Amino acid sequence: MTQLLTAFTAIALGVGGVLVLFWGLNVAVDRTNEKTQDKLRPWVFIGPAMLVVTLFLLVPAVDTFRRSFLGPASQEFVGLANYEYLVTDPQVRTAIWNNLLWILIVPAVSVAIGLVVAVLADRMSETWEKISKSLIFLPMAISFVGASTIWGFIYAWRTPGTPQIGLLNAIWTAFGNEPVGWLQNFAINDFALMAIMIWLQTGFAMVLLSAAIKNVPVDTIEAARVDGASEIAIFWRVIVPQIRSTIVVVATTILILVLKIFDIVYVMTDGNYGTDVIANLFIRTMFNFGQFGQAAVLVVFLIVVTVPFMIINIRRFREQEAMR
Amino acid sequence: MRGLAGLAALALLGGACATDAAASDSITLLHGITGPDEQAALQAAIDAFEETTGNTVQVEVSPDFDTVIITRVTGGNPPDVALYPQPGVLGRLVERGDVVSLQEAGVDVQDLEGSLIDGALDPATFQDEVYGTVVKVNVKSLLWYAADPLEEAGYDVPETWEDLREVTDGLAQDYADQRNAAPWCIGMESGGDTGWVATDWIENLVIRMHGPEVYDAWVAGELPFSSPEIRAAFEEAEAVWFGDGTVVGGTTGILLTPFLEAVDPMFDGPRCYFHIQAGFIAGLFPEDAEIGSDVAMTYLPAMADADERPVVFGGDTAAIHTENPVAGEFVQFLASPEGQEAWLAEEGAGAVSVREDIDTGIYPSEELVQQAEILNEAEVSRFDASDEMPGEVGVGAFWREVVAWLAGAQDLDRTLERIDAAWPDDQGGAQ
Repeated sequence: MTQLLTAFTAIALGVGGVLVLFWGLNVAVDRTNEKTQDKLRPWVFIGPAMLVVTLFLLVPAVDTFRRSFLGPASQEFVGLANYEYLVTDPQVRTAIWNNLLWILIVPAVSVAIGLVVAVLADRMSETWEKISKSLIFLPMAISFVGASTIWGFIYAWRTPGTPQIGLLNAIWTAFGNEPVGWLQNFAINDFALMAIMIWLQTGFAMVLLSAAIKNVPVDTIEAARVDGASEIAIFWRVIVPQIRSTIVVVATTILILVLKIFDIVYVMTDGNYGTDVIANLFIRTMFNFGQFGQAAVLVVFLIVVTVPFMIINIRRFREQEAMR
Repeated sequence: MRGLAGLAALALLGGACATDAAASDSITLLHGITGPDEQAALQAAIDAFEETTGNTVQVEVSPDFDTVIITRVTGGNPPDVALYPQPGVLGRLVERGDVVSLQEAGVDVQDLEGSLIDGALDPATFQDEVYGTVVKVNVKSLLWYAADPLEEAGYDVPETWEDLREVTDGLAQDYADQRNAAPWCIGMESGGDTGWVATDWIENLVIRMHGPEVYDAWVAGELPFSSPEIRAAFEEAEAVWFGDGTVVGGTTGILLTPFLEAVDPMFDGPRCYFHIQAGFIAGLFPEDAEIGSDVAMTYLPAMADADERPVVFGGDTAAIHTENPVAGEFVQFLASPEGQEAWLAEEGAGAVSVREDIDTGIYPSEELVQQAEILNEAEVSRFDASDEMPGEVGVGAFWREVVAWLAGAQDLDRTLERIDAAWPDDQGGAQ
């Protein structure tokens, strides 16, 4: 009870405090002369946000960079030793390799399936389009951890000769096969984990792509039909070029999500059986091993890799805005 | 600035309960014991402390203890006392100067040395300075077996490790044509902690085959995993784990069976006869299981030629992080006869005393009495090696590489080599 009370008080104080702050500052600005007012007002409203971002994002980022040159307890300078760890450690190599696989496969497959569904749903009657799209969009509402728990039951394994509680193994053994440890088999497990992410993200891709397809001018498609183009040619030559920017935005959004992939791997395998990824390795290095320097270097690496994709995404977004 | 303060309050919401009352007669205790029954038992000891001394203890529980303790301690907001389930991380914090030694905190270390069981101070001793003490004990050298079925199958309860291997081979042959039954039940799946069950096996084998000196050198990092001694222990485990029809479900079964469900086949047929696990597993037996006939517990046999009966144990290690004088008083109390009795006589404690002089009559169940007797009879006892090793090895490579080995990704040589490679250069472990 007291916890709830504390929570509500904190929310009230937080939200109320922000309102009082802006209102007070605004009043203060109103009292100055007009020229200063124009100069001050934007700062009054952007300033606090900038301060918060600096305090909670920029400062920690810079501190992480500093720590990447310090030892396990962040006390002594170790030069590039942590960076040497980054390039030579076999565990890091596995994690980077897996992240790369995720980056290559998950956005591509999510967009591909999302696109196919969007195109096909577009040709259904309105009711069926709604139903099919809602169903495919549904997983979006589930958290990564929740989805992992659900898929944990799909991939579950039980001793051969006992009832299989896992959906996949129940089907698989019904055909007379031996049950498979889907998450423990080195050849399959990475893809088994990616399937969860794809299941979650396809709905997102579908919704945006479907909206883009509906925006494609009908006359361009009809003109192509009149010219005798096949439906497949229309799709590739007329529709896809016109929704290309949406495809790129959707793909990069999923890609940035995938770069930071953590929850699914943490819940399903915790990086065992060669499924480790950078974010999960970082958590272990930091909190289980107390190796602050090595943990920092992993984060620095993740930031450095993410930045170019962020830039691409922002550029694309700007282009799209400019087109409107 | 009021707005910012509000924002900061919002940001701190997650840990808002950590308000400091900072009075000298009040301390904070952080632990990771999440079971309600176990918590109630600990609370009984805390209540006793508060009653006898008039001090108050504010308890904070975190299911994610390792993460929280590192964040709090390095962030300059440590609890006064913390109970470490895996003290391996303590070494790093001691090195940073974030832990107060028991001596400095006013704890009578010599008295503890004289009254606690062998090995109770090892996990928190660094450069001959004691920084903490084990305060409750889970005996890990226990063998659970299907008592009546074993007799009906024509086997005696194994007295030595060699006997156990022989019975294993015999049962494996008897059950050769059954896919879902085998002599052993082993399950290691434990989410992010998968693999810890394996470490208990190896620890028990190392101390049985080579004695405490080799065990200590191994924990300290002086004897590598790839040494002939440690390798021999792994080979002994390999013979059971990878044996033909020795474990229900084979190596895949070992990896994918949750450790809490591992013993279930023993009550279904039985489909298995032996299981190695600490005392808590008794709480997971089916309600109608008769202890003594369906299942029984005994000391995990020692080697035939051994003249001692070594025991491996785990447990929570109390360490002090602030100069608060009450902190030392509290740790002293937890390890005292009064504290131990108040704690362990409770139904839910499920553990035995770290002291040698506690009457076994206080324990609420027959199994705990038996465990206490096993511990008291042991000439040699040692703290769980993997919990004591630096985190990179103890809760890292040791688990991960054994799991990869069982999954068939690498052979034993490569497994041992990779565990050795994970040992941090700057840490020689606890000694």
